[in-house]
Amino acid sequence: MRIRWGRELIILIAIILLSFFLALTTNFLFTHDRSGGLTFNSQSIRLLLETNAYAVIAAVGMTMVIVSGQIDLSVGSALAVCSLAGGYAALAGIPIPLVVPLMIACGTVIGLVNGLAVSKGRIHSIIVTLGMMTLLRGFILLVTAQQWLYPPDSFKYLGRARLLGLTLPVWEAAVVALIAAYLMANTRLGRAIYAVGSNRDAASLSGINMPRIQLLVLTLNGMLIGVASVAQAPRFTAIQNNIGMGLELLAITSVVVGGTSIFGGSGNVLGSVLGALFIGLIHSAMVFLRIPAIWEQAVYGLFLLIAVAMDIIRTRRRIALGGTR
Amino acid sequence: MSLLAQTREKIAPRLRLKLGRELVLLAMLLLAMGVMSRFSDHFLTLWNLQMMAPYIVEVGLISIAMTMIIIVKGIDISVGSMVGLCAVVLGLAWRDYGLNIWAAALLAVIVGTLAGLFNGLAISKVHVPDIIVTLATMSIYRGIAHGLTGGQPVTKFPEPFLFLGQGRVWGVPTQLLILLPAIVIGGLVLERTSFGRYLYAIGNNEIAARFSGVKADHIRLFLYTLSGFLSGLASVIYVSRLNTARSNMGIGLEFEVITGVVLGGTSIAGGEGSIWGSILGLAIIVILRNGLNLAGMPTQAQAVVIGTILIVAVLINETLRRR
Repeated sequence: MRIRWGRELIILIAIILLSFFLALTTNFLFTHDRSGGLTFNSQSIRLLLETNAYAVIAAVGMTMVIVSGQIDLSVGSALAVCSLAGGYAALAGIPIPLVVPLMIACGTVIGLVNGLAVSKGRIHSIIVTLGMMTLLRGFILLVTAQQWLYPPDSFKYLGRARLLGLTLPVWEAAVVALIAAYLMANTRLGRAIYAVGSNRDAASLSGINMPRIQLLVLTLNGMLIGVASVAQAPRFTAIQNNIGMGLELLAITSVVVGGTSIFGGSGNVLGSVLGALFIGLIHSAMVFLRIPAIWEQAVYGLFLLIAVAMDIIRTRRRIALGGTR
Repeated sequence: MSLLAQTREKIAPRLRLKLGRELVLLAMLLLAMGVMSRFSDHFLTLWNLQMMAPYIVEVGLISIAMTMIIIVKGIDISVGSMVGLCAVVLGLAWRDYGLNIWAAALLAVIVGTLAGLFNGLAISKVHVPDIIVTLATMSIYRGIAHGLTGGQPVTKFPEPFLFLGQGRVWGVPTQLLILLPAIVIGGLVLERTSFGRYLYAIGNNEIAARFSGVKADHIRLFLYTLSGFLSGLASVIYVSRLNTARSNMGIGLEFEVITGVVLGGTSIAGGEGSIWGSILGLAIIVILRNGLNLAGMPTQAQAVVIGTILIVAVLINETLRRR
């Protein structure tokens, strides 16, 4: 697997610097014990990984979508639908080993519908997924009647069980990221996704079935959102009906901060994983620095805009210097 | 000039087609009204029709800019957040900073214009894709609105201000008198001026338009600024109609506007569409919503209905266009 340490290194440094800053100013990494000495506290890092596992999975899926030159705005609502489907199924007494595939299937179907509308209906993914987002969100509010859902303990076990000190969601995210990284970098499908995203005409002419790739990528992304819901929904005592709200912004921001070009055709999974962790760290920083959560949305939006603008200015300069993208 | 002649030749048959589509929309509108009147006895009362009229004004104003933006192949999903931001600015400037209510309203419109200008600059100068810019500013503007008020509403606006959104002039709701000239001006500009032709030219083939001397970037900058200006204006009317300024005002508005525009025959692929169509499209949605309300359908279910309409409308549009 070939890794080019460009943007990834920058984010890694940013993550380290921000952690360092937080460690100095708050009790993010070190807590004062009674005698006044400092003790290292791994809790924060573990929590960072656990709370952002689902965002990492969503960012991985969004990477494929954006690299292929599309976008998916329906991921937040899709996550909510999958979570609620799982919650209701568990409440109905369906055994957990069946609930998990059900949640993943649920996401896959949503992705498939998006994909069919884009590939067969030839509508731009922005419009399809914007419609899907509103449609699903309305559907959720209708089904839940604004009530929270309290799943049984067997369901919540999925979010709490630990393996080597880390909860299952963290492992799920790690597995998804590894598989996706391999798929994007080392397989024919991965190549085709990059090809469609960087020059669709050239891709078509060289025999790549573009609609099929679009369909596949959106369906795959739906499936990953199903997995993300398995990583997120069981972590809480209640599944709130606004679960996943704003996930589309979070995922797109993570991907773009991670160095994937918004125009498609370039970027990688590792960058997006780091991007998602970086955004998660920003969230922690805001909590530790006591910045009201109400500003959070504005901060994410700002990060997205800055990251894209930087990317565009950088590539333009490179083109001006005679290089290629 | 040859490009313009070409465009005109290309568009002439389409104008006829468009007229056909608008007749179809009108028929749909009447059909919707007929069906709704079966659901509820209150639907076709004069009182109900008057209740509906103000609602279309806010979305209608914004749809004028949205139609033009979609014609040049753009999109603006930050309009709902701009409405929220302007509403909050209006409320806070009046209540906390003691500004005269009309000065506060002017300030809200200015803030909206600046918000739109910011979108436009990022899109036309830095060349960030419009969907990303407006997705980002959608959350930035909404975030600022939430942050400024902490989620608390501003209410009890002075009586003269409420006239704008609740009053009547010769029996016609005041705000309708703002919308109607705006539609006429917008429609005429789009169909009878060279500026309007440029929009279709950019949407049909931007590179050709640029080579023929159309300043596409300037036009984009103007359109997004216009979108901010109209969102500001809509928010002032909205606040006056509800006598409340809240930071969550206008959530989902972008969706309704885009659905109306697309239902009205504006192609998401650019280069095609009209303001008359958009207004008819919005009228259908407003009537549908009102009818579903009267029939006792919850607001959330209406979102499902409208989401379905959007996707179906786009599918039909694109299939028709390809033929």
